[in-house]
Amino acid sequence: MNRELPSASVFINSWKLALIILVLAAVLRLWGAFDLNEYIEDETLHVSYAKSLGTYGTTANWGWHHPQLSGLIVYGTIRLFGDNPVGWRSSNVFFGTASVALIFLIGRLLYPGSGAPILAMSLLAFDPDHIYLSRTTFVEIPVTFFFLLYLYLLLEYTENRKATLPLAGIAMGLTMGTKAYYALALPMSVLYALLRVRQDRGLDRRVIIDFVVALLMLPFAVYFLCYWKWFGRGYTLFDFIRMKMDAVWALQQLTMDNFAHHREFLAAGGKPWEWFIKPAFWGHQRLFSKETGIFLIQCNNPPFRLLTLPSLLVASAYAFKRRAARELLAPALFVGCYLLMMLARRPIFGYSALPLVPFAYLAIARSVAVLAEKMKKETAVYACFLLAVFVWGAYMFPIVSARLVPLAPFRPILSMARFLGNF
Amino acid sequence: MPFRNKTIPAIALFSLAVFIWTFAYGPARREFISQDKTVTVHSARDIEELWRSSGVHGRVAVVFARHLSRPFPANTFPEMDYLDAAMNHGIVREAYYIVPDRMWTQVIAESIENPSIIVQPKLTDTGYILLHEDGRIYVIPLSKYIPDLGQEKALVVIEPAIWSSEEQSRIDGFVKSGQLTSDLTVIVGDVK
Repeated sequence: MNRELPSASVFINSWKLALIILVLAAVLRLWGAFDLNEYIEDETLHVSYAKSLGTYGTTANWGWHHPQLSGLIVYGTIRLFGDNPVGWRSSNVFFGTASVALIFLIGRLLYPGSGAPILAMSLLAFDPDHIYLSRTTFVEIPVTFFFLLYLYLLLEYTENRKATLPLAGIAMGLTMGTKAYYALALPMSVLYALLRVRQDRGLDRRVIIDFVVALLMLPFAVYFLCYWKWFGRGYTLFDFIRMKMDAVWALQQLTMDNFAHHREFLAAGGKPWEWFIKPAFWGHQRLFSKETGIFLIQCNNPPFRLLTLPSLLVASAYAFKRRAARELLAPALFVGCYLLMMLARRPIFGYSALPLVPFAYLAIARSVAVLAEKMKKETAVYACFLLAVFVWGAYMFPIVSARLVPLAPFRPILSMARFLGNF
Repeated sequence: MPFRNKTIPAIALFSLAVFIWTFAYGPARREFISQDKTVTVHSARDIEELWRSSGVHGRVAVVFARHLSRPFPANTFPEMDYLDAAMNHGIVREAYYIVPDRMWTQVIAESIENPSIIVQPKLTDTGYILLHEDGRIYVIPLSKYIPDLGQEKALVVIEPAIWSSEEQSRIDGFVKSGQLTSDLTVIVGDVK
């Protein structure tokens, strides 16, 4: 692998640094997350959806075409903590924080002996939009968590020969049961696993059976079970297939006219092709005076996500040079997910960029690590990069989390906002 | 390896059991009433209360009426969105809305204009489908409707005032021939 830094380097395999970043990630997602005792944007849809699903097995707010697991989870936390901000948001706080840990673990398996895992982890931990969405009920947080969990368990199987394949299958089913973002990435990752196993120990009948059972039968079983409320309304599998076909058809009929009430706000996040090219800030404000207010700003984390496309090129070139499939996995998964969104025949909004972000950050982190190695200044580059990520995240945190802030320090961001409504 | 030898067959069996469950669980959860009955009501609210109090669940509704769900002035049926409420509460999972042929073009226009429709109706050979949040609603003119529910009994709603005697005989024929069976038939009498 890489020319390794001295084993004492704080950036390599440092569980202590990883733990510090994880604790900070938890603080940024938890601190004040339940203070706003009102629905934040789509929470008004998500919470009523969850309650309808839990109570009657039916969906609400035209959410019938999406898988139902996230609604069941939110309903579960509402039952546990009450119909209040803790009940609505606590699952996303957990899933968002846990995703930060998972990207570190995945980074260790993909890029052992490099600083990339810590860099990728910090990018996600301090990503203002990931923080924002982790403090709400958006489905993008649990679906990303479940996919990362699946990928981690799959890599433990392929890279370390651990018996995690069935667990990976469960996590795959949970991913499918939450939202369809990874419809291409899931089979791509299975193909990667088959390739790695063939390289490592050869493919025999037993391995093929394991794959079919653990990564095909089991995920679909879990996926169907995520619809137990729906099946409980009297339906059978034939009805399910018909409903899914209806859903694809209905989604393809949607245009921006169907979102007329929020058109400007939703359009502000940009079209998919813009997500990693143009800086974007948008959101809502509540001003208390000319000098102070609270904000719920969404963004595409411009300083860092705009590094994605060049980083994908660097990481891919490096992978080809080393002839290492493992190095190519994150760029390939990014492309797989992105293609699905670019080709989708329905409006796609800014928050849908989130499921791509872990792969973008793995690619960025890998590119920074490769360049740092070439410059032979790993420690300095890693330290500067981490500092930049932390400073940006700390600066943005108050305006993505509805903290009361003076306006002056944030005017540069607010002046760039494509849309700034009141809430 | 012994772990693997037990785990993989166990998972395969579990998956197979879930596959069978997808066919058995839903039908087992449908709730019917034990003795078939016919009830005359005078408002959509009566139907909603009747369905709810009867404990029926996960059912197919077959509605022979002029209007499906839009709110209309007083003394018109329905005065409330009873089918929508029944679908939202899991009472009805799928509905057939059968209308007189002479009113077909009006019904289509009303469906397209209906502001609660998110996507336009899906056309079929016999009529069209409204993709309701909680199940399909088939909209069909009477002349093209042939009941196809197998052995399953339906929740039937009939608004007799809008049907000619020939049309009424056709509807009665479905019942007599056993093509359409119902455990709870609602006749909409004079609207209050």
